[in-house]
Amino acid sequence: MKILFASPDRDLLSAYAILLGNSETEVEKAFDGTFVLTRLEEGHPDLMILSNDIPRVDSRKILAFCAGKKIPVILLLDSKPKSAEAVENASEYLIMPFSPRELKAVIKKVTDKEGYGT
Amino acid sequence: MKKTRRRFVLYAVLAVFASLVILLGAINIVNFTMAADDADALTEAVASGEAGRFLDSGGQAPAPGQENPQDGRPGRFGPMGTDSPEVYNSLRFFRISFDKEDNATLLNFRISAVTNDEAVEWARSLKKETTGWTRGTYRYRVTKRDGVTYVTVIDQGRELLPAYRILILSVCGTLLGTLLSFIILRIVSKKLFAPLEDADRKQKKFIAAAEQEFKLPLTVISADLEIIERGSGSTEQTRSIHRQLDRMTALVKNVGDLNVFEDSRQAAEEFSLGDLLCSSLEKRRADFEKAGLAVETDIDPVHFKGNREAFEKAFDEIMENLSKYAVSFIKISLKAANGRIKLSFANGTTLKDGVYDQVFDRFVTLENAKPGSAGLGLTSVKNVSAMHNGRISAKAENGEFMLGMDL
Repeated sequence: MKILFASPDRDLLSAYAILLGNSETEVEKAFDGTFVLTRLEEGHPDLMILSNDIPRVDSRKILAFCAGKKIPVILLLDSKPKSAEAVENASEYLIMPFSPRELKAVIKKVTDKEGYGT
Repeated sequence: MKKTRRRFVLYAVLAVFASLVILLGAINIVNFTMAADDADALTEAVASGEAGRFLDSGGQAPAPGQENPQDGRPGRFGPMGTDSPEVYNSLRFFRISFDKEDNATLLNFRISAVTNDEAVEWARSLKKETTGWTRGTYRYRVTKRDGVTYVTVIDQGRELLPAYRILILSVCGTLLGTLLSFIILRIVSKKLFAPLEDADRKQKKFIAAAEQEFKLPLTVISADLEIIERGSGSTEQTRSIHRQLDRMTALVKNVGDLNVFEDSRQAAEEFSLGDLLCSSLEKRRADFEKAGLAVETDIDPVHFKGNREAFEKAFDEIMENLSKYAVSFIKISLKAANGRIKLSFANGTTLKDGVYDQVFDRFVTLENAKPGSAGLGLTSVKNVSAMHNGRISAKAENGEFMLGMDL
C-alpha cells in the first residue's frame, strides 16, 4: 500500500514514515501543496494523510482533487472543524495531538472501508 | 468580559437609583411630617379657640392695646410660621360641635369646597377619630369638652402644594438621575473596561496560540517515543515520558475545549439530559465501585435544547471531579420543575470557607487538588452552563461540598 503523507513539519513526517512504513506499506513524504499535487498527478497513492496547514496550496483544493480521483484522505487538523465544509471530501479527520495508536486505528478504519489491507 | 461590564453598569445604576430613592424619600418624608406638624399646630390653635377668638374679631389684627396671641412669643418658624396672625386670614376651615344628643352646631365655616350640610356629615364621620388627614389634603382634629365633641377640619391643599411639588420633582429627579447615570456609566464603562477587555483578549489569544503551538510537538514526541520504544523497549523513563505526555495532552485538550465553549454558540439540538448524565455516570461507575463509593442517583428523564457535546464534556468533567475528591459517596440529582432544570452533585468532600467560588476560576487549583490538576475542568463546566444561560454554584451544604447547576 502506498501512503502519501503531507505535512510541513519534517519531524512529524520522518517519525511517521518510520512508524507506518514496513514491507507492505510505503510512505512517501510531501512538505508542500505543490509537491502533493504533482505527485497526485504522477501517481495514485492508496491513501493520503494530509495536514490542514499544508503550505502553497489550500488543503480544500487538494481534498477536492483527491475526491475526483477517489483517493481516501485522512485530514489532520489542529482544532475542531468549524463547519462541515472544512472536512468535506475527507474520509476521516484527526485532531492534534494524537498518538500513533490513534492514527493507526483511523488508517485501519479507512483502509478497511476501502478494501485495502494494512 | 462584556457580561461583567453589563453587570457593572447594572449594579452601579441600581446603586444610584437606591441612593436617590433613600435620600429623596427621606427628604420627602421629613417634608410631609413637617407639613403635618404645621397642620396639627393650626388645628390645635383653632380647636383650642385661640384662632376662633381671633377670627371673631373679623380676621383683623388686634388693635393696639388689645391682647395679641402672638405677643411675647416667636412665631412658629418665624414671622410666616403657623403662629403668625396672618395665617388665620388665609385659613379655610370649618368647626362643628356635636352635643350629647348628636345635634350639630356650625361654629365656624370658612370654606367653599363643601356646603354646610356636607360639612356636618363629613364632621360626623370623623367624630370617633382624634387627628389625621381626610380626603387627601384636609387635616382634622377632634376634641371633647364638657360632653361636647368639637370637629375641626382645615383645608391644607395650598400649604401642601409645595410638598407635593417637591415629591413630583423628587420622583422625576430619581428617574432622570437613574437614566443619566445609566447613559454616563455605559460610556464610562467602555473606557474603564477597555484595558481589562484588552488584557482578557490577549490572555485568550495567548492561551489559544500556546495551545496550538503545543499540539504538533506533542504529536511528534508521541511518535518519536514509540520509535524509541520499538528499538530499545519500554523502560521506566519511556513510561514516565508517556505519563507526562498524557498530562500535557489532557491539558492542551482542556484548554481547547475551554476556548471553544467560551467563543462559540454551536448549533443547539434537542436531547435527553437525563440519558446523557446517566451515560456519563456509567463511564465512571466501575471507578466509583472500585473506590468503594456508594452512588445515589435521582435522575429524571429531562429533555433539553442545547449543545449536546458541550454537556457531555461538562458531565464527564464533573464525574471526574466527583471521583477524584469523593469521601464515601456520590449523589447526583436531575430534576425539572416550573420550567427550570436543577442539577446537583455532591461527594461529601469539604472545602475551606471562602474558596467555594474559586473552584470555577481558570488555572486555580485548591489546597486539596490532586497532582496533575490544571484547574481548568470546572472552568469549562461553568462556561458550558453560562453559554446555556444557566447558573452554576459551589457551596457548602451541611458542611459538605455541593455543585449546583440551574438551567
